[in-house]
Amino acid sequence: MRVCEGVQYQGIVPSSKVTDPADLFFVQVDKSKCIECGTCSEYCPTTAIRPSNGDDGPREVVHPGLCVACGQCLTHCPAGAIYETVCYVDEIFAAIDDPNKYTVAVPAPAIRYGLSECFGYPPGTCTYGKMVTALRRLGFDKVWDNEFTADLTIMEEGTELLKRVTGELERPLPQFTSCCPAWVKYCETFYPDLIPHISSCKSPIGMAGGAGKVYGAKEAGIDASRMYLVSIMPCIAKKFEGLRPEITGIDATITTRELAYMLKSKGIDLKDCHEDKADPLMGTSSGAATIFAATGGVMEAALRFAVWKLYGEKKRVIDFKAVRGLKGIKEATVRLPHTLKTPHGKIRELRVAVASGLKYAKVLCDQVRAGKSPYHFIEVMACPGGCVCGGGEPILPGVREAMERALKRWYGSLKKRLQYYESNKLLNA
Amino acid sequence: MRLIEFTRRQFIKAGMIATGGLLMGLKATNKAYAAIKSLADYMKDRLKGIYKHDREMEIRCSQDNPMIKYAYKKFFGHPMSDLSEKLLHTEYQDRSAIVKKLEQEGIFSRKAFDSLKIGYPFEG
Ligand code: SF4
Ligand code: SF4
Repeated sequence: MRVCEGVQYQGIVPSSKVTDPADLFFVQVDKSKCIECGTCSEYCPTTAIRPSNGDDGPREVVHPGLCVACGQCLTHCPAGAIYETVCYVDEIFAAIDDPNKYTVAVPAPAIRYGLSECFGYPPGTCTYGKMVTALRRLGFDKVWDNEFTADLTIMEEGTELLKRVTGELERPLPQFTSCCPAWVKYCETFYPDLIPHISSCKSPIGMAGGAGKVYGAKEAGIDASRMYLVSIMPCIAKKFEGLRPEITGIDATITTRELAYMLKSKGIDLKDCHEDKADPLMGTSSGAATIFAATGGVMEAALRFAVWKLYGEKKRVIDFKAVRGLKGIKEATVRLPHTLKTPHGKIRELRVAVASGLKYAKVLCDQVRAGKSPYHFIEVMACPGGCVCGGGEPILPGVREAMERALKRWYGSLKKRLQYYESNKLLNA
Repeated sequence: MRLIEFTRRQFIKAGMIATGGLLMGLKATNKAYAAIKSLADYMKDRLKGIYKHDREMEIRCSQDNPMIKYAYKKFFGHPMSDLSEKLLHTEYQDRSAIVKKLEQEGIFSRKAFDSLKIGYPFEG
């Protein structure tokens, strides 16, 4: 197994042409490392990870159909016992070296905030310009930015919301966001009756795949059939999404951790990279796009758009602080310029909610199912904190330290201690 | 044997505390962080970084992004145009059949799913 930033990778390379991603495990437990603490089960929103038999014993992801690949179990396991299965790193290296392929990197908003930690910066450091240079040095022919398609998402999803509200579009309220693939799979699996509530918009990276190989290729003069588009995500579930038959144009998906691994294996240090910018055509973005990385960010971005659309140029509201922060469920209301008579009744204000973590989303889903939801628009991110705390981001310093403490102070058996020492060495590699 | 049992339970407790964010050890992994920080604090640090960068950005709203305007003018026309619908919108699948099957096989319990504790260990 390959180790990227303390996390192990089995190295399965599925192709969307042959594999139904619903049959794949994206995370699994190395039972020999599991210390049966149960932390993973406490983070799991679906009961997918639990003791393989009965109430005790090492944990296991029991069935791929129950796991939404959020990776919250993996990023919180204090023993480092949970690994990722899918890894496109070798395939991407080969594509970069292949003169017939035109490689395009599309990094998510959260990458510029997470990658820094892998290179010794304190958490929260934004390294956008350095990240662009690092991707170019790695050998990508073009660097676009998933933030551009995040802006595109707001245009489409904001428009869809207002059309749902006025009744111009005959779809139910509330509208749910569709950016988070773990949430989408969760809804499809456990709340199929709520599917019509999910925005029909692809996620930003879904849009990058769709638009990149048609609009982007045409405008930039690239042969789309040669284009190899790499989705770089803070997320394990994005590997699932990239393989969905409905999503086109994404050739490979890697996490922040795997990108850090690729850079380090080529001797590229983020600290040595100069500031640069992504290719403007599909690389220019706004603040509304960058906050997609945070819980509440998609909502705030959509509200910046909706207020402008409803009130025109004169009234500008940028900050919607009520939807920021780590609280599980956040709410806000936005007064409309005039009362709307709609098929949903009279609407005087837009009422929105944000779920930070699927366990909180469940509360909102149960409300909608019972016909008691007071909201018009709901953002759901599977990971508490949003994408920047996603399953593909660097393990938070607190957890990495727990892993180290586990090795140093509490493990009794010498054999086990040796095994942990080994993985600790790998952690620091 | 008893000793191992004991140490393991101790460790488990420590692991829970650490990942629950109540107490961090003294030796921080990241050298810039000598202070004792909870998991939630680290998460907040990441969020703060995002809003700081947002404030520093020249353009704050999607509709003001010049390359977005260009894309609609040159190609898509307007949001939810036919081209948008074709390339930027999608459909979803009902995946509940597998849940029903696993429920019959005793691998999934809707009751256990519905009684999952709301909230996460990092919240303390
Ligand atoms: S969090 Fe890790 S060590 Fe704890 S039970 Fe889950 S897999 Fe095992
Ligand atoms: S990835 Fe998410 S859904 Fe799957 S087992 Fe882990 S916590 Fe549960």
